[in-house]
Parts: sequence; structure tokens; C-alpha cells
Amino acid sequence: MTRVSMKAAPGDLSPLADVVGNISHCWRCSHCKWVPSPVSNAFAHACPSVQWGNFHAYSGGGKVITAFALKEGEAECTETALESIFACTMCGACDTSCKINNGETVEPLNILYALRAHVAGEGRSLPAHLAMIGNLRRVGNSAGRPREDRSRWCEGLDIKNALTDRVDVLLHVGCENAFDPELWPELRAIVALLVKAGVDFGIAYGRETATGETAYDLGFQDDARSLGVAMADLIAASGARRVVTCSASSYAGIRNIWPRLGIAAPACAVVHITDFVDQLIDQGKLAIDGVFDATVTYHDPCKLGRLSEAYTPSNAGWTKVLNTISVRDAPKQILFGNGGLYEAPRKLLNRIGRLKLAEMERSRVASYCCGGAGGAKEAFPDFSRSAAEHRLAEARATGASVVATACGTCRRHLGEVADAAGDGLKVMGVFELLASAMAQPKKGD
Amino acid sequence: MATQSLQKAHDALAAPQASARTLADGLEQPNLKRRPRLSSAAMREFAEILGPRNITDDPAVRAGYSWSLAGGGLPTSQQFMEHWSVAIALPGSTEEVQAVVKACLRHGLKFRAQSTGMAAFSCAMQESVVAIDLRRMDKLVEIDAKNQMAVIEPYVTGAQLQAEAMKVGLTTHIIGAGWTHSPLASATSYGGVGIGGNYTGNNQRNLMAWEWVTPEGELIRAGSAGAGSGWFAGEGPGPGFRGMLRGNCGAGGGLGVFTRIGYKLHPWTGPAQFEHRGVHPQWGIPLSDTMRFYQVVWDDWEGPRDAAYGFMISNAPTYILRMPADHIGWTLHPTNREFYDSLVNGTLPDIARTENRISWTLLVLSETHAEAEWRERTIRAIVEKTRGRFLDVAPEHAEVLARNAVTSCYVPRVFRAGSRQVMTSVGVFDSFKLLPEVVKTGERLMRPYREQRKTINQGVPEGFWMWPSEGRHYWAENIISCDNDSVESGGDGTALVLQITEDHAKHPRGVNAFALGGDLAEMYGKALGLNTWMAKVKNAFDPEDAADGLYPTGKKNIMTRLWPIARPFLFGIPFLLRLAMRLQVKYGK
Repeated sequence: MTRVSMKAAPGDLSPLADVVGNISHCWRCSHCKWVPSPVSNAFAHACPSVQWGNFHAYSGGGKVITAFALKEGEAECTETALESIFACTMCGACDTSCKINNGETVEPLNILYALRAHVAGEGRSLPAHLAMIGNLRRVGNSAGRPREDRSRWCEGLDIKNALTDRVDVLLHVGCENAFDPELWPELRAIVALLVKAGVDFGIAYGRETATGETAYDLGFQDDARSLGVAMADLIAASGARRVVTCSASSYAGIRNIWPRLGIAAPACAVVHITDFVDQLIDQGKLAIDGVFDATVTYHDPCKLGRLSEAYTPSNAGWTKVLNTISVRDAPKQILFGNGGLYEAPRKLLNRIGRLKLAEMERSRVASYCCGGAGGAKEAFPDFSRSAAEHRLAEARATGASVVATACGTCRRHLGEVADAAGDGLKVMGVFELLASAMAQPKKGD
Repeated sequence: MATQSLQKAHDALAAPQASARTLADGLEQPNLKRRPRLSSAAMREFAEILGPRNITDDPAVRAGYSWSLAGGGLPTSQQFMEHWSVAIALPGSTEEVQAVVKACLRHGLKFRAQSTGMAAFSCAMQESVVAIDLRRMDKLVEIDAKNQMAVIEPYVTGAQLQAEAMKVGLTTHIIGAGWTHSPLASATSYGGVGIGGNYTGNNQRNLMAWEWVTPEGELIRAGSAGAGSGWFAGEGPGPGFRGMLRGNCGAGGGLGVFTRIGYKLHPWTGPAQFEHRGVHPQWGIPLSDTMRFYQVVWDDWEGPRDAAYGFMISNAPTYILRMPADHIGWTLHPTNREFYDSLVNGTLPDIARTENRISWTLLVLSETHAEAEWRERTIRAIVEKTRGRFLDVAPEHAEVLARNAVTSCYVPRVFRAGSRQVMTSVGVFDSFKLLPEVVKTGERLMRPYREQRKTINQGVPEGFWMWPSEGRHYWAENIISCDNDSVESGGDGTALVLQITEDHAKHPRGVNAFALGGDLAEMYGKALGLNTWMAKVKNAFDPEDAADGLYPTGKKNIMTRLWPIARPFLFGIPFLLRLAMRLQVKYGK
């Protein structure tokens, strides 16, 4: 083997320096634009960004090239460049599709993270994103809501304080859920199930804070680290045996982003609420006795799916074998998205009587993003709406009357766009749907 | 006229905007490259045609249309093409394409169209070129199941068309570049061959009627579409000159913009939708009684040659493909590292071992059990007669390889061997009798680079992909993978291509399929007068040389002028050839 230097010049402090070797392997195949195995012409696209922006620069591969052009002074952070970089939800679909053939050689999502950090480091972040970061620094959530509002959703529920009362389970709520009254029924349905199952749980009330993945998505890795560390400390302080999170975003943050930032995994298990409740049912601690007489399609949230795959840090570099083939010179995990959480929400839905679950063409690792995350909605609402419209069109094509999802951001965003369309397609959280079903017990079927 | 065009182009291009950028402390701050941009008048006109969101001359966007396969540790200038498109246009209709072409002509600009824009094939090859990205023209207009054809726009991909075709019992040809390619681009403007070619033909003849914006901005519908009779025929009752228009390799954009075609589909007896087996990215398709997979190996190259005749005469196998064993290995491993570890650990499956490289991979589709049994009996008889043997293949491997045969899904994995790739071929569109000699030639020419110089990929000794094109012609192509971190390796790869081409010119073995565009047409097309004919076609339809692409104009440049003098020295003294190619890689000249 001959060692080679597929890395940037010594002294290059750019966040892009570490991904130069990957960038050089992009051969503009455009696999990043389509799902790995299209089922139709209409829903073959993988990337909401390029589907909206159209120029190659909006695609995963296009952003890889933009990263190199910016780094090498071949282009500047113009308005167009910034739009192509940030009219993107960081959903990771490009990464999943790229790896069909390119394996470990490109890994576009890692380059996209580095590109955003590069832009932030150059002081070229968008005003909308600077406002989000300001809010995260000030009050621990990107919406800028007062910390004391975090627990308004549970007023009257008499939930234990996980930081003062020893509990078995720390129920992590998540910013997107805690401050949005439309999502409170979902949270209250979860609480009802946990109470029914006899789970000893509590929440952190106003001390819960963002887990950092939003800051990471926006390119502010130091802020992400500060937020993550604060939340990790809070988890440790709770002494809980398990963290059960209601937030798909935080689930991805803890499993996938914290290791990138050097934040140690919590000593206790971290479980998503869909998985936890499904386990309770399997253990006989909970029964779903209800019906929901409709065709439902399940939208895989990117954060709960491919982006929640647990990440293992590695310092592996590159080497060449067989004269020309680039391989990693030490073990390095390659994320294909298979380790995301896909089955638990489906199992829960399938437990509901009369509910017919219809899959969308793009699901699981190849799910199409709703457009709500990555700071895209805040900076480019037209793009964000466009993504949701594409996703809802796909949902309609299944014949479903309800789209269920397990992410507050997806639920909020898809719901808004579906309501605006006004054609009767309803968007519901999985637990909102479960609660609705349990309000109608089975009658002999 | 030429002077006027130059002046117009100059007027259409604004002064470059140089500016510095900020970098981390301690780093030198390179100036932004001085790249010309559109004048405000030209930009205004394009924006009026397309809408302001569909035209840009921002270098940050143009970079994505100027990306070169050469990269890694090579000089930065080589990560991008020498010439950047001056602007990117996104037309949404044939009328807009026509208007963009006419606007380019008014402003003395050139243009080059692209669909999915794979690799560097569609990058600008000269100055003042507007890239026409046909992404917004993505309609699958119609699938006519009864007549086994489709009508498509440029940005329908092979996979999208196949997904829809399968629902009505049809499938499509997918070229070796993989399923993200545009069948329209491949059929009208490039080589158009793919690994399923035994069954799905090649795109030279899958092309039926077409709609075309000429380099002068004229809209022509040709073949049956020219007479308003539908899209079913490329030759008459309207104008028909398919061969002249695309020849063997296509003009690569050099004859204008194709905006809609009729396209031949092929019967499909498999499922209406692929059911996936395995875990992403190693998805396979389930085999069945009527979809059977065989891997046959021989001890010498005469075996697969003789068997190929039997297979083609009997028509027993549906898909017939020879992949190099190491490429089968890549197909069966999701990452380079896993493939290499299997190789080093001796755990590669038999099908991916070099000793089993003399092979045919067969996928057999039937409508009934009886038909499947007949096909299997026939194949077994042919294999026995040619002294071949069947390899045991693990079901999960057979399923992945079956998916690959039908969709070309994993073919692009050859690019994992280094992001600098060059292609060549010998023995194309001729008889299978050439097969052993072609292999021998490949081994002879590649050996010094593989074994002594160690500058190209150390795979199987010859690296040929082979299949019967259209169920009769021999097709063989060789992907040469170089190290993208080494100027020496990059130069050697190009030198090897030229050596193979030269060898082919001296000892003709069918058509040299990848060597007849641009300067290579001038350098190697003379023997058959191809360069003259291509130049005649080019100049007749594009007197202003406005359409950037592969057809030569007949005008000499430094390379083609020096070629007759340099040729004997370069091939007489291989060191000189390698040095020249190294300089070419390093400095892009």
C-alpha cells in the first residue's frame, strides 16, 4: 500500500479540509438526485432542494462541488450560492442515494455539514439562521420562546420533575413539541399512555434545552456542542435509567450528532417514544384497544429514520490499494441509513383495528423529506412548502386520507401545507392517531 | 463572419468581477478566478425568455457544470474543466430551448445542452458556451404499450422510464453509465450502449422519431413525427437521417438540442415492480422459476466465444454479460474497504475470483415454466458443448447481480476505483470471433501499467466488459481506472487509451467506439473518412459552429496539426507519450 495525501494543505483551518478526499471522488453521477430504486416517474426524486432549485448546485453533488469552489476561491458566497446551500433540509437523502454505488468514497452529507460550518465560519450565515442561533444561545430553543413556556403543554397533568424526583424514565419533550400548541395533544396522549402503563417518568420542565442538532445543521458546531453538553449533563443529573424522547430531531441529535461533537453518549439508554410504547405493548403493560377506520400512510421523518443511525467517530484517513483504489486506512463506519428507526411507528399503527396502512413509494431509507427542518423553513419558506407539497402528493397517491408521522416538525409542517390545500387530507401524529383510535374501542371485530 | 461573431461574444460577456475572499488566518488568499460573465443585455434577454430564476451566470452555480473527473491531489485547476460555461439556462419547453438558442446566436455565444449531465461528458469544451440544462423538461409524455414504445423528454431517466414501462409489461435499455442516464441523450447524442444490450438493443436503434432544435434555432420534427404521424419511426414518412445525425457515437450536443423522442421499449415478463431483497445498498430482486440466473465459466477464451454464438442463435438467455471478476466483487460489496478486505482475506465468493474471470453471466426470463425449462436445457447443452461449467452462486449474490443486469444499477461502481476514469474499446460491432484476440490485446497493452508502473487499477488482467449488442454484434469495452491523486497515473491512463487506439488503427478489430469524437475523430477517423463526413454534417447544420460538442468542424488546431509529426515519436518512444500525457493532465493543454 502507498499512503497518499487526500487531504487539504497543512495549515488549512477550513472545516472543509477534512473532506477534501471525499470531494475529489464526486464524479457528478447525479445519483444523489433520485431515490435508490424509483417505483414511478412521478416520485423518483430524492432531493427536495434540487427539485425546487433545479440547478445542479442545489443537489447533494452540486453542493459538494460548491464546497470545493468556495474553498479554492473559484466562487464566492453570493446570494445564489447561499440559497443553493441553505434551501436544503439536510435530510440526508442525497447521502443514502450516493452510497448505492459510491460507497465510502464521497459521503455527501458529511461534506454538507462541513460546507455549512465553512459558511458560518466565514461569517456568511443567513439572517434567519443567525436569529435561530441567537435564540438557542439565549433561551435554549431556536424559536426564541421563554424557557418557562416549555411546560405549558402539561399544565394540570401533575408530571414529576425528573431533576428533583427520582424517576425511572426521563421523558424528553423536544423544542418542536414543547412550544407548539398544535402538538400538545400528541404529548398529552403520550403521557396518558405512560400513566396507563404504570411507567415511572418525569420531565425536566424549563431546564430541558435544545440538544444541538439544529445548531449543527446551521453550521454552528461550537454552539451545537455547548447545547449538547448542557443536555447531556442534565440527563446525567436526572439519574434516570432511561431517556425516552418524544423528539425525532433530538433522537437523531443524541445518536448521530453528539458523537461527531465528542459528546459522550448518555450512560442510560436513549429510546424514541414510538419504540418505547411499542415495547410496553409487547411486554403486556399496555393494550391498544381501538379502531381507526381509514387508510393511513406513514411518513418516515428523516431525523427518526436515516439521520438517527448511531454514529461512531473515527480518525481514519485514506490510502490506496490495488494501485488506484481509495480505501479508508482504519475502520470507519459508513452510514447507509439502515440503522434508523422505521418499524416501531409502523407496528404501532398496525396495532389499531381497521386501520389500513398504505406505504408511500419513497419510504424508510429512501423517504422523501417534508421540507421542515435544517433551517430551510425559516430561511426559504417557498422551498419548504414545495417539498411538503411533493410529499403530500405522494401520500394522496396511496389513497390514504390520513398521513401519520412521528416527528413534531413533520407533523406541523405537513399539516400546515395539507390544511392550505384544503382537500381533506389530514396529518396526524402517531400518538394523536392512537388516542383517537382508543377513544373508539373495538366492538367485536 | 468569424470576426463579427467574436465581437458579439465579447459584447455579450461582461468584465469579470475579481474579488478576494476571506480564509482562516495564516492562509494565502487566492483571488477569485477571473471568469467572464454575461453582459447585462444578454442576461436580461435570457431572463425574459426563461424567467429570472432559470438563468444564472454565478460562478458558484457554474462550478457544478464545470467539474472534471480529474481531481484529488492534482492541481486545483484540474478539478475543474479548462473552460467554464458562461451561464446556465434552464428551459422548460421546446419553445424556450429554441429561444435560448436564438438568443445565443444573437449574442455570438455558443451553447451545449445536457440532461442529467453525468461526469464531464457535457461540460463546455470551449469559451463562451451557455450550458442548457434540460432538467425542467422531464415529461414522460406517453407509453404506448401496444406498440412497445414511449415518448419522452430529455430529463426522464432510465430508471424512471423502466419503472413505468414494467407496469405495462415492458422494459427499457439502460446504458452502462447507469440508471440515472437520460435515454433521450443517449439515443440522440452519445454511444447508447448498455449491459442489457443483448435483449434491449442499443440506443442508436431504439431511437425512433425525434424533435430537434437545430444549431440555427430551427425546430424540426423528423421521422414519422415530421409528418404528424406519431413518434413510431425514425425514417420517414417525414425527413429521416438518423444515421447522419448521430452516427456511431453521437455529436454530444454538437448538432443542437433534442427535446423529445419516440423510444423503443422491449417486452418484460418479470414483475410489474421490483421487490427488494437484502439490505440497502445491496438490494437484489427475487429470482423465480421464470427468472433464472446462471454463471458459466471456461478455462480459455475460446469457450465463451463459441458459447456466445450458441446463445445468440438459440436466443435462450435473455441477458448475456461478461463482467470482470473484480467488478463483480465490487458489485457484491457495498464499500471499497469491504471488497478489499474480502480479497486480502481470501473470502471473495467464487464468482468474484480472478481464476473464474473467463465467464458469461446469464439471466433468463420466461413466460412459463415450460419455456424456462427449455431455455435451461438449451443453455446447459451449449455450455457442455463448449466445455464450460456452472458456478454455484449464493442466492443473495445472484439476486444482486440479476438486479444489476436488468437495471445497470451497480455498473457505476467501476468509478469507485478512482475518480479519474478513461474508457476505450476494441472489437466493437463486429463478430464474436474477435473475442480471444481482443482479450489478448487488452492484457498485452495493460500489463506494463498494471504490473510494472502500477499506475492503473490492478484488477483482472484485461478488464473487459462484454456482451452481444442487439443479440448479434460483439461489444467489448475497457474501463481504465487511474489514481486521482497522481499526475503520473492520470497521464498513464490517457497514454494507454491512445496506445490501444493506435494499436486498433494498425490492426483493426471492429469499430473503436469511444475514439471518434472531437480531436480523436481527426486523429483516427481518417482511415474511413469519418472525420470528413462528420465535418460535412456539422458544417451543413451549424455553419456558425455555435453548438459545442463532439462533431469536428474540420478546422485544425494545435493538437491535430502536430499529430502527424508527433505520432511516430509518441508511439515509437512510449516514454515521450507518457510524458506528453502527464503534461496534458497537469496543465490541461
